[in-house]
Order: sequence, then structure tokens, then C-alpha cells
Amino acid sequence: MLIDINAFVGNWPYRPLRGNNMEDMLLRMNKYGVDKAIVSNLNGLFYVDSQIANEELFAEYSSNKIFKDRFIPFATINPTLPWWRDALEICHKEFKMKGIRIFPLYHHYKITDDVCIELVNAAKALDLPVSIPLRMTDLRERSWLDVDSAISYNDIATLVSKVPDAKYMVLEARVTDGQEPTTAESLKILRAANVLFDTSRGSGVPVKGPNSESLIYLLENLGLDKLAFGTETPFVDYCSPFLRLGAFNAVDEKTKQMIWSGNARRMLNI
Amino acid sequence: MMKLQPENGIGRRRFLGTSGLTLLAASVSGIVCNVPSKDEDKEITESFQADGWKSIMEDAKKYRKIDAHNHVWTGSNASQVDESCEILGITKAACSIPGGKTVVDIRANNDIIIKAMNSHPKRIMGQCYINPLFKKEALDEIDRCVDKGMVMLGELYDAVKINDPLYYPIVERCIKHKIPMMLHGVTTLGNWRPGYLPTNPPNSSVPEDFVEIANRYPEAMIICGHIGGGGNWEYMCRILQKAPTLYLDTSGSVSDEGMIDMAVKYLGADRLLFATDMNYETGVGKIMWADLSESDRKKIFFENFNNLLRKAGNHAD
Repeated sequence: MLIDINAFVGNWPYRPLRGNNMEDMLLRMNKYGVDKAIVSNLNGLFYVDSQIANEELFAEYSSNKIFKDRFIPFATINPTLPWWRDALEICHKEFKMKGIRIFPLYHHYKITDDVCIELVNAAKALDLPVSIPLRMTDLRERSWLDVDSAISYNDIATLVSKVPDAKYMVLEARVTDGQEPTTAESLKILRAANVLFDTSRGSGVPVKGPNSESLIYLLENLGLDKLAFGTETPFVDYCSPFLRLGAFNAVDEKTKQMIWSGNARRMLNI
Repeated sequence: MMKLQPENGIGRRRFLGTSGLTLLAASVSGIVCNVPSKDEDKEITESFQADGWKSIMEDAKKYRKIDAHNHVWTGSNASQVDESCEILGITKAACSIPGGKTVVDIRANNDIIIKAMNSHPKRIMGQCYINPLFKKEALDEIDRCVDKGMVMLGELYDAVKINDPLYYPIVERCIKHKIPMMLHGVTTLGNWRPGYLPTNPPNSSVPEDFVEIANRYPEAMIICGHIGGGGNWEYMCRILQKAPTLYLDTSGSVSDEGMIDMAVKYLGADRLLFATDMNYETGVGKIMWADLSESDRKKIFFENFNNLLRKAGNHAD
């Protein structure tokens, strides 16, 4: 079984995307053999009211029963909005969404702000994983309107230390150029946490690039139970994510199955 | 009857999918439902290819590939390069170690490449690094490296811009040896738009610099490094098209959806050279995923660069 924990529908203001709706995404999932994909709506990063994006996502998700078998919708929640609790409740109870994604840099708050801690605690109470992309695009190719920084592993560790028993998914997992080094203390916190790091930017081949971007780095520093397959679709080509894990010969088939879907299934209870 | 459209088509659901229209429809009539018939369910279910990625990986490995931009580096020694290439079906890789503050340092780095060529002759080809600021020594080093079997210059970096007159004798020496030269191309925001922090040194070469030198020396084989090197690749496509003899390598960690397609549209498949810059999976994946004819995919993976190497007899069989 293959589960993609890093997929989106919706639009990106800085360049056109393809495959950014469930119908088109399903085509590529079928071709490559992906059983399920966790999706949220990119529009929620940019709308003042991100709940409208969640309503759009739910409408698309509900428009075909096949989508319900193949997609796992995550809500985009902006905790700076006075109505975020209502949004979370509707997404959980009415829309049956299975987790949330947060975008501190795009919604202009710090990951350690009280509102963010409150949101993560609320998600924890509902047993919803909190998915956090470290970045949305390579900062070197950013638009002048886009954010100019990324979230670090240290930032994630700080949040985890404040809400240690929540479930987390870290997307775009890789040490970013020019970023502060991940501290030993952060690694210790992350190793002990219920957190998954996606494979969308990790390399499986023996060559280790200059930025510790190898999957073996994630495996050795964080543990076997911490990696989960992610594609970053529709931002990047859909072939490379499979080659990354396909080329990862440093682990046995049992471990690979944990990465392809086992670790995600455990966190999602499916 | 619901039918999944080809990705490049505009399906009805694609139009509605995440637009406000969907929300409007949902709010007016409840949820818009296009409940498929049992036949439609069956059609979609049957299009699912369990482990489909495996056959695509096998297909990718079948193409002959020459990597026009790679490195022997820390964490990327000759054996690791060899093994990584084998996994992805990369036939040969042209490697360099850019950098070195002194002539002695530069020569030592090139010697490491020569050693890698000798230890892995079937896989590793040598790229000679030089710094044009060391005028005579740079020319001497080119001759030495060519004599040792290196096939091109690369990855030339940011000591001076590629259109600087200091590069003229370097380009002329490459023309004499009939070898290509590849230089680090840059399109990060701060390097082309004043007011934003450059992430590359000011002497880094932007596409306009490549166009100028290529139009001055149309007989040279000049390669702009890494469309996926982390800048605005749209910029590369729009500007590099102005020099018809320029080549662009496809390497870099960026493998954005549509990037290679745009490069083909503006430069043509004949001017693109497959490369990884140590990003093996994205290097191969972005070419496999691009909307290319079989003929163009073969050109980019192998034939284009091999034809450049052929001029000095350095081509693969």
C-alpha cells in the first residue's frame, strides 16, 4: 500500500500548477500505484478566511464517492482568526477531516505563539495530526511577494516540546540552505515525539549532498518509525518522489513498507 | 459518464474543482454530486496500477544517460558517484570540483578528478575547473587537464562573470580543443532584481551574461548550469532563447512541475542536456515526467551531450 502524506489541491499564485485537483491527481495516483493521498487546499494559505478553502475542499471531496476512498482531507486552520475553533469543529465533525495543516509563515504568526499552541492542543484533543510544511517552495526561486524564510527542525522541536503528545507530520523534510543547524536537543525531542517526516526532499542514493538531504540522514537521526512517503504534488514532478524511495537500498523491504504507508497508517489509525 | 481526462486537458471537474463556483454550487444546492455509475467506478478502479512506480523506474533505467553536470565532493566520492549512477541507470557522469583559492589548490582539486576518472573509467569523465583570474595558469591547466583525458571545463563558478573579457582566452582555448564549457548559472531573485538580498556572489553569471558570450563566440559549446539550481527558471527560458548556440543543463534540486516543458518550448529539446548536480532522483525524474516525445527524451538524456563530446572524440560508443 502507498500513502502520500504531502499533496495539495488548489492554486498557487506564483506559477500555474497541473494535477491540482482531485480528478487529475487521481490519474497520476492510479498510474504510479498510490492508494491514498492526504490533501489540503492551497487556497487556504491566501484567503483571509481559510475556512472557505476547507469548504471548497469538502465540496470537491464530496463530489465523487471515489474521492472518499482515495483522498484523506486535512483542514487548513489559521489560529489567528477569531473563528478558528468553529472552523476546526466543522472540519472535524461535519467534514470528517482527518487532520490539520498549519502555515505559520503564510498566516503571519510564530509557531510558538499562544494561539498556535492552543490550536495544536485542540487538535490533540480530537486526535488529529498536525501537518507542518517547512516551506512551500525553494526560497531561491521565490516570488518577491512570497515568504522569505522556512521553518526549521529546531522550530518544530520547540513546538513539540510545548505539546509533546500531539501527532505531527513534517513536510518538505530537509535541512534548508543557510538554515541554523539542527541542535542535538532538537533531535532528542523529535526522536521521542510522535512525528513523521516526509520523503519528498530526501535522496535515497549513496551520494549525500551538501545539505544532509539524504534519507539515511533522516533515518539515522530520527528513527525507522519517523519516515513517511510524500510527493509534494502538484508542485514538483511526480516521478522523482518514487525514485527517491525506490533508490533507497540502504534499508530492507520491511522498512520500506513502513515508509511507503505503514508509519502513516499507524498515525492515521487506518 | 464521468471519464478522467488527460492531465493536460481541462476537465469539467478541473474547472470547478477548487474554484469559488464549487462553493457557490454547494451553498445553493447542498453538495454538488457527480455520483458515477457502477461502470464508471469500475473504469477508474481498473486504471489503478499497483506498484506502477516500479515499472516507471525500470523504464527510466533503460534510457542511456550522460550526466553533464556532477561532482566528486564530500559525501560524494568516486565510488558513491559510481554506485548512485548505477542505481538510476546513468551511463556516464562528467564531474568536477569547483573552487580553490590558489593555483595549487585548483590543480589539486583537478587531480582528485583525474584520480576518479582513472579509478572509474567507465563511469566518470573529468571536468576541468579553472579560475580566469589566473590568466596564464588557467590556460596551462586547461591544456594539462585535456592532456589527462578531461572532456570539458566545469563547473566554472563566480570568480568573474562569463562575459568578462577575462573569459575570452578561456573560451578560445575551449574552441581550439573542441570541448564544451559549463558554468554555474544564476537566477535567484536578488541576483537579477535590485533591492533583494542576493544569495549568490555579485560576480555570478545571469542568463544575459551567457547570451552575450555565446553570441560573441557562436562556435563555442557553452552550457549554462542547472535550470533547477534554485532560481527563477522561467527567467532562464525567456532569456537563454536569445542565443541559439547556448545549451542549458537540466540539473539542480528543483524539479518543478512544468519546468522542463517550458525549457523545451523556449529553447527546444536539442539544447537541453540531462544532468544531476548530485540530485540523482530529481535529475532523472524531471526528464521522465516531462511531456516529451520519445525522440526528445533520448536526445536530452544522451544524444545532445554525446554529440558535443563527439567533436573531440570523447563521446560514448
